[in-house]
Amino acid sequence: MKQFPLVFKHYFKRMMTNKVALFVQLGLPIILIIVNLAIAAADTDADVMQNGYNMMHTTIVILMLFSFAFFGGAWLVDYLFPDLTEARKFRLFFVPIDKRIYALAAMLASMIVSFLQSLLIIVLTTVALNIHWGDVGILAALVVVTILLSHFVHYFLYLVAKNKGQANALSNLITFGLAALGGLFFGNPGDLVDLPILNWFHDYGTPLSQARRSMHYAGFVGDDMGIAIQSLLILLSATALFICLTFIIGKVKKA
Amino acid sequence: MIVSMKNIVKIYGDNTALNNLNLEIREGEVLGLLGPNGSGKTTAIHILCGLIGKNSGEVTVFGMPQDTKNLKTRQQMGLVTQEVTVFKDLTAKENLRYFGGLYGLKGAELEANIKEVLEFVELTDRANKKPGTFSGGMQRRLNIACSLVHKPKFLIMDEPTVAIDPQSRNHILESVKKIAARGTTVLYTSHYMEEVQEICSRIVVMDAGRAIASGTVDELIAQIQHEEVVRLTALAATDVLTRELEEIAGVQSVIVNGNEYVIASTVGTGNLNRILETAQRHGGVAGFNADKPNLEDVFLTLTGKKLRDEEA
Repeated sequence: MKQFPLVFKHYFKRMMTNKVALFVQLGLPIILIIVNLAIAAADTDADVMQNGYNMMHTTIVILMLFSFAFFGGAWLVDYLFPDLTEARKFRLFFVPIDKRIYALAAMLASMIVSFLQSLLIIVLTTVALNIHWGDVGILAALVVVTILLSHFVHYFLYLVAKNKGQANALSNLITFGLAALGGLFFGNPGDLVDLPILNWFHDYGTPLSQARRSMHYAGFVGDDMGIAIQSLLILLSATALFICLTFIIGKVKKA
Repeated sequence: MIVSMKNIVKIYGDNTALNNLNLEIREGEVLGLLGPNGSGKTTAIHILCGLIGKNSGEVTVFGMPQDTKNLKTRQQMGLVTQEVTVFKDLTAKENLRYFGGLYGLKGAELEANIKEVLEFVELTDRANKKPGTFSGGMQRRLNIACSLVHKPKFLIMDEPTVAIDPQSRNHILESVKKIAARGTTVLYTSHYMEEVQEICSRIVVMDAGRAIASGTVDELIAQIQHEEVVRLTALAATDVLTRELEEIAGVQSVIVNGNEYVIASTVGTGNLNRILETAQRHGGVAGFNADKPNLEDVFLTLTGKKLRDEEA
């Protein structure tokens, strides 16, 4: 365990100096938020004011925040494959450190980068764009759980995929698919195609839906903390499920 | 004895990669491991390094049982991988600092080792550059440096000279000699027979998952050599010359074809001078050639395969 901080620092530094990843993780969400809020500002008829805050703006920022938090784990896959599956694995598995500890340290570094990304979005939108985030405790818990869920989903993909290309394809399918179903790109897809399941996905069936639901009920829609916590628990349960799955797959692969 | 592998069996599905492999590596030696593709060299190295498990047999390294969970033995071992496995997004020094740190080095000791190893591979002036800007040979040298930074007592080099220019290859071979001179035990695998012949004090030949021969180059040659052959072109071939050649002690046969003589003697009789003196007395010698098998012949005789047959 004594090399854990070293491995953590190694990955944290590499992730924080990867310019492409930094732009996508830190720059892109800020740009998209500003562009989307500018578009929304032009359509004042759609504004829904509540407790003095523009709920349309809040909803846009919530969608961005949690979508990008859920994308975060995808970057982990980009580091795990070359380091622990391809040629470099022989060198890294040979060093005197437990490979599970090694992978965990890399994963924690990626989680912290994702958390910093979320924190930056929250701080910037609060200070510069007057976004009200409602209950801070629920917000923090949702961000942490979404990042955890994303990373364990992606670690699961890393374990089951044959190669990096396959893992990335699955990751894109899942992250973009769930984001679309959750309403990131086209609003409620159930408004476009008359399928009840699409409404269900938009309202309940994706991490984005549950995070949005929790945020809304915690701070804006009737202040029903019970529903907010219920959504949080659903996300936590999904996270626990993927932690168990990665544990089982890891054991099976080792055997 | 630094390494002992006894009756190692490793099976992948229907394929027996190692079939009762026995291998010993003595302290301070440079052991060359030769074998055609698929002979089990890489599997043997991976088991020796504790990267994969075995089906049966016993491996000890530094007197301790080696398996996938034993991290202690690896503290004193270094592995130079076949491919360059350094981090391209870190500088040479950062790579060394990271790998040294993974072996528990820190502070002044780590920095001193980094300085020393950079000097050793002649990359001091490139210390703060990223490997992406290096030539292939320089990347290989950094790859070796990353395996040496913790000063291992036992270094495993898995084909470290694949696909590099002759200058870098010579540099690496010289480095191996220097590493060995410092007392480090080295296990070296290569497709290049001349490399193994040049740097290894002992050679083990593997085929079909087993060690089929071991010894120094001369010992291996002796294992396959049954006679010494001298090919001689006489200025004048005569029956007297033929008879006198046949009468030299240890000569087994003399075949004459025009002025060409093929003279076979018992191994170790050292008849070359006597044969030349005899030919000089009977008209003189236009040319001669003493055939001596080399490591390539040993390999071909033992395995029935050329080492580089399947390389492409």
